[in-house]
Amino acid sequence: MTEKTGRYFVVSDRTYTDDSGIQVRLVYATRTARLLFVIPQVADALRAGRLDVMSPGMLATLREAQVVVPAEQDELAEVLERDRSAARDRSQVDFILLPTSYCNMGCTYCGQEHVRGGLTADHRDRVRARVLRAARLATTRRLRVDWFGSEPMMGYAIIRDLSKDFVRVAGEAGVEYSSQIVTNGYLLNERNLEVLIKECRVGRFYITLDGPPEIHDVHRPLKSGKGSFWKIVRTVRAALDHPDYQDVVFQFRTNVDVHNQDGVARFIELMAELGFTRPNVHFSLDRVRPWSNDVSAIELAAKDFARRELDWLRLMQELGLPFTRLPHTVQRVTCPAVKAASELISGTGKIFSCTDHPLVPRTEETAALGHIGQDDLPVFRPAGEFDGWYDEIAQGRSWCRDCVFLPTCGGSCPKAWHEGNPPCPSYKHNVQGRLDLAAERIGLRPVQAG
Amino acid sequence: MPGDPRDALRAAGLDRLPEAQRMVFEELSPEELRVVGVIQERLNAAMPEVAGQNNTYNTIC
Ligand code: SF4
Ligand code: SF4
Repeated sequence: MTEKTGRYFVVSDRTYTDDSGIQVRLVYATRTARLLFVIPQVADALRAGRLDVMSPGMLATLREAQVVVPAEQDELAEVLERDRSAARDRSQVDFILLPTSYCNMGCTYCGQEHVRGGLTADHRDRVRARVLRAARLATTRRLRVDWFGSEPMMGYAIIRDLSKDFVRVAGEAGVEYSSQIVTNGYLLNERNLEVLIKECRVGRFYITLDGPPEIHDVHRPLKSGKGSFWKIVRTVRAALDHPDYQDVVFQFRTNVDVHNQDGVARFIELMAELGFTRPNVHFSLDRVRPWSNDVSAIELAAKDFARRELDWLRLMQELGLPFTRLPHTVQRVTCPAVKAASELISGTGKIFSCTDHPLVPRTEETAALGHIGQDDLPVFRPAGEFDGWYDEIAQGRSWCRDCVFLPTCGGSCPKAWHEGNPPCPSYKHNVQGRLDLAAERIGLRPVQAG
Repeated sequence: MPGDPRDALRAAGLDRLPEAQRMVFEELSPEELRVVGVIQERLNAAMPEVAGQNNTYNTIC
């Protein structure tokens, strides 16, 4: 079998060493999301496409990481076919439910329109019936229900009511059940956290904190005008000490724009001081991006953000806050909008494929694929705007066809591409710095040039 | 034998791997083997991390 070096890997520019004297370079294999530590000669050979100088053991390792592939293999076609088949897969059914369209915050950069009121009783029963029908399908092995907003905790009673049946029926059907919630965190408290985790089986909380208290409370003000930072932080910090919650993940996200960028380092220091250095905590930083609203006055340029982000990530590493240096898993399904067995049901009962569509007035009006009140709704949602995403990549309608990160990124956000805003994740711009961090994490340091 | 790269491998627990994977290590060059041993030991010692999901919801909330 003849082989070639594949197209989906990144080699570190730098060589790293330690007191034992070893010298290594890093190879990030994006088709398998694996990070390999190789001797410099192997890195050089990879860059030169020379397989003849590799040891049999190293060749086997590189083959397994899909850095070395059969000579005739069309890797782009393989990656896209793998993704298409994951997007078509119906063994895992995902629902994203918005129990309400209202939010108790009025964030400075938000493009949502918040209206009071949640699912009506009739709609709620129809949502319940629709999810349960999917759970009972012979093809369903896993059921995931994610609670999403506006602010889903405004509809806590609905979450509790529906989850009870979802968990029970999934159990009866032998279907694995999981759940996540995307919340601003303000309405969480000790009591409802326990219910969410133990009864509703929420296993991951996505919570946004935009800086230390004086910045977060201005960037993400409550509609009442009060601050929220300390209430959110105290509740989650207490939960981290709870012995039953050690497998529950708390993922903090920080949206960065021109207004809060100078507070990010202080935020990181504060979270470390407060003891958020736990393995079930995760931090991520994201650039504020247009969200069907004009954020051009506050948005940071992608490359500027990526440069500053490296300093923040280095600080997190020094202080022991967990974050992702480079993705550990490949992105088989880009996002919910490309997955056939995934749908979002809004607070007004409309069904969408894309999580942004119900939150923006124009698309809330025009992009619905159905309504929960319809008697003729198919078991899986009708096709949406992004179901042909992998064909669009193959046709070169974004940069993704030629991108080394396609297997871990999947094109990030088809909607953003359709709107002409490339949504590339920051690691596309700062991968070399992230490889430095991955090396430094295990005590390696760059070899000084010269 | 002192300095045998296999010592590092044993210290990192790689000698307990399934046969097929162990064979891969046995076909590495001595320097590669030394690197694998040192790196694996450090990775084993590093704090485990949960995977942050990239782009689960591309939302600002
Ligand atoms: S298309 Fe973009 S906004 Fe819509 S669900 Fe996918 S990632 Fe989210
Ligand atoms: S979105 Fe950007 S980083 Fe992701 S695959 Fe496309 S071009 Fe690459």
